[in-house]
Amino acid sequence: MSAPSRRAFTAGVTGLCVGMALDACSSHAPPSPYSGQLRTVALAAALENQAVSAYQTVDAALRAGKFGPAIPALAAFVRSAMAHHVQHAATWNAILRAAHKPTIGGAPLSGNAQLLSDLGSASEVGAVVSAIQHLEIQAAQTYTAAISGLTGSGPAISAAATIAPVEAMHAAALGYAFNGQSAVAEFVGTGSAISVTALTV
Amino acid sequence: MTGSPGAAPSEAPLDVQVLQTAASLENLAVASYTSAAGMAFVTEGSAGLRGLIARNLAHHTAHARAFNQAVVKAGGAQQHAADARYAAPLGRILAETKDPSSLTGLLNELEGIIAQTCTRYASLASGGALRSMFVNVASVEAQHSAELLIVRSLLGGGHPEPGASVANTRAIPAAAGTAGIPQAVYPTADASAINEGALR
Repeated sequence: MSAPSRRAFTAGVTGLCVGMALDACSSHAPPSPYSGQLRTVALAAALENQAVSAYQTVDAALRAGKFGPAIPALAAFVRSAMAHHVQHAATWNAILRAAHKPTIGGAPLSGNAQLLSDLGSASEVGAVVSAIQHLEIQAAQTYTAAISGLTGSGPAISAAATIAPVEAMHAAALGYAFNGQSAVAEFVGTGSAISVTALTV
Repeated sequence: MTGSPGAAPSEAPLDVQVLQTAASLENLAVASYTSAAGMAFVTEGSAGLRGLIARNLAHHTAHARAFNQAVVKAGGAQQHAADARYAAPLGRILAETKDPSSLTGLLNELEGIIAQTCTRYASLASGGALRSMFVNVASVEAQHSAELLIVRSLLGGGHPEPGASVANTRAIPAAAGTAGIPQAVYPTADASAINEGALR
């Protein structure tokens, strides 16, 4: 084999390897089972599961006395809000199930691990209240934004319309009762809404 | 162009009807909060309640303006009157209201009617922007409710103002923690009929 031929052969093998590597990479990221409106529904289910995990973290910290003496009103709020989010996750997942799509069992969202880590390491109750209040307003804003892209008269529109005000109430109650100030603005807005690109499945 | 004899007058498009009804409910809220702000036990009472009433009044004024701007875009006329179904009876009850607990209870009911109406209309409006607008306003009225419910739950119990300090937060009874979040799914049973505030 002449020198040019060997170079061509080597280049060919290298190219083949690069191609195989790309194939291998793409095989680790299968296409998402969710598209169109169902991707929004999957995002909503993930956000609700994330809220449940966040409240579980706060509940455990309160029970362990991490923030000092008991805070009965906050403990009651956390348990009640957590139950609401469990119900909301079930509502969104029921829509996925009806569409023959896999349900969302965890919180496949970029930033989820960091959020839970921050909540777990917080030592001041005020910081924890602010963090979960931010999650609530983010959820309300996400549904407020998402409903504009949902079409027809299906269950996703009804779910967004009836769940957004509940998340907004959670945020308002947290701010008013536990954070020393009302957080209610003229409009809920959509500036902190989460995009479907945050969904990692 | 003439209509056929005996034909019923044509109805306005759905979006126009729901926006006019929403505006009429916001006008009702503006009138009610204006009355509440002038009550002696409010002007001479808790600064916290006075602040909530003034803030909510401003929000409802903004919401009425937003719905009226939207109704013009939808091809209809602005609605500047208060909802006729509720205006007279609510005015009578307000005139007889003599204490903060009754007032916050009444204002919470009013907020609930508007929030439920907007929640319902979010599923009926034809365009995405209008659906988003109705959810947006419904969420704010629901937040007003949450705060009014917490205030009401703390009235008369000798409890400190919520949230002023961590010590105050620890002193709030458990029931106040859940007073502002009474349901997992926002109801729509008390939503107004779509043409309740429509101009005729």
